[in-house]
Amino acid sequence: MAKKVKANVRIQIEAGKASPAPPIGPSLAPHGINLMAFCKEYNARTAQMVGNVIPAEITVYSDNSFTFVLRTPPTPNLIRKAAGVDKGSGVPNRNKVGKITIAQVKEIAEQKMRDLNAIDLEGAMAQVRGTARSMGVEIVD
Amino acid sequence: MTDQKDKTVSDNPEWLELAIETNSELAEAISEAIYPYVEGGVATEQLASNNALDRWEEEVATGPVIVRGYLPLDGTLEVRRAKVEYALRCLNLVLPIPMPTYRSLAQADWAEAWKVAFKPLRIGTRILVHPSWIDVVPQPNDIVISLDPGLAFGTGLHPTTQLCGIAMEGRVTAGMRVLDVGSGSALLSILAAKLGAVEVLGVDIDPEAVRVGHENATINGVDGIVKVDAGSFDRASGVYDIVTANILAGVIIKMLANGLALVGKQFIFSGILDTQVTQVRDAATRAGLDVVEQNQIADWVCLVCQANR
Repeated sequence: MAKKVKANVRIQIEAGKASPAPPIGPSLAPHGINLMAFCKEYNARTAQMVGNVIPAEITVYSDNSFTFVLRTPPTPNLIRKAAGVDKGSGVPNRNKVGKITIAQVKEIAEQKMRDLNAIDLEGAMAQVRGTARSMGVEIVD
Repeated sequence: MTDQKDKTVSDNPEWLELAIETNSELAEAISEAIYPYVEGGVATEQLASNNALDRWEEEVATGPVIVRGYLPLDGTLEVRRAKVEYALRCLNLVLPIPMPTYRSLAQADWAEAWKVAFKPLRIGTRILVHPSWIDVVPQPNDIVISLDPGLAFGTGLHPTTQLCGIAMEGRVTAGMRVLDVGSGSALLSILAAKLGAVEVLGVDIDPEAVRVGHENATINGVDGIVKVDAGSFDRASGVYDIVTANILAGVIIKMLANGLALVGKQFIFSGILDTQVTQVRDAATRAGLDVVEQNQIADWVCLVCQANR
């Protein structure tokens, strides 16, 4: 049918924990989409990934129906995991909080490839390196 | 309070919403910066610009990106707010970003709030589509379809669907075989079955639509008549009495060039903007169809065609 897009909403939440509370309720309810249908479906699809942040990208159509796709965990989460740190640096230009290797950058880039707007793996790796820098995580050989 | 998110549910039913208007490049970095301090997670919204709404074939939203997070208005508010702002100031050292704007928000029953948009809907003279949570009292000859809006397109609210429904009401009769190309929620397939079709095949390239369409057919008790398959009109077997294609002008034209006209006797084409009618009419004529009726709601047009072979 004629799909006329009204909005795209990306929800970044923990796998299996969708509920009508914020941020989902107030950000999706104004679009008139079936909140419980979304929460149920999201929780079912992410049941095996509990403990990770799994973003969902919801496309809302002009007749208030919707579809959504799951995305890979955000790059910073993967970098934190690789570096073994709890959080990024508050002052990334001065305080470095950890290190990851080029091999780890490549691994993250490969995992994220399908969600990044990068032409090739090199481009994806450049994006991962940039994110790492913005978190105060150094890249080592 | 630690740096970790306080998961305690607030007794105070009020929220502070913070919103940062940005672009898609910076949205992820901002989401990540505020994620540890806001409740539940982060939402990023991109509305379709008015322009994009006109260019309706593009399935993209191109308006500004707004990142939103929510803080409960309780004892943790000031600490969390300070942490959010500190995180954003730090990020600002690397990537220039605007500071958030705030508005307070009353607690609402969001799980129910979206439902107000949906009311029973009459299409044509006899067709009554209602969401399952609203009981309807049908008139004696009404065709009642229960459809909960959700995944897959087709809630009946869209003019293109209504035009199709109206065209089908006068044409689908007992014993017919119907093909519904781009079945979405399967609303039109279900309608065909309820109008008396003995065999309805809905096809959609979206696997989600196939699943939802089957569910909706079951809810409406016509799963014995309506079959929903993944794919396009190449799934068709034989010649159908009526073929509906409520998709888009571009797709319809392409399908007509690829032999759609051979699988049916009568065709209902919808999802056509009034500016595209001529192109679709030409494509139908080239494919060996006569246009017998043209109807319009708002700027949407529906064409009824007849095979002239």
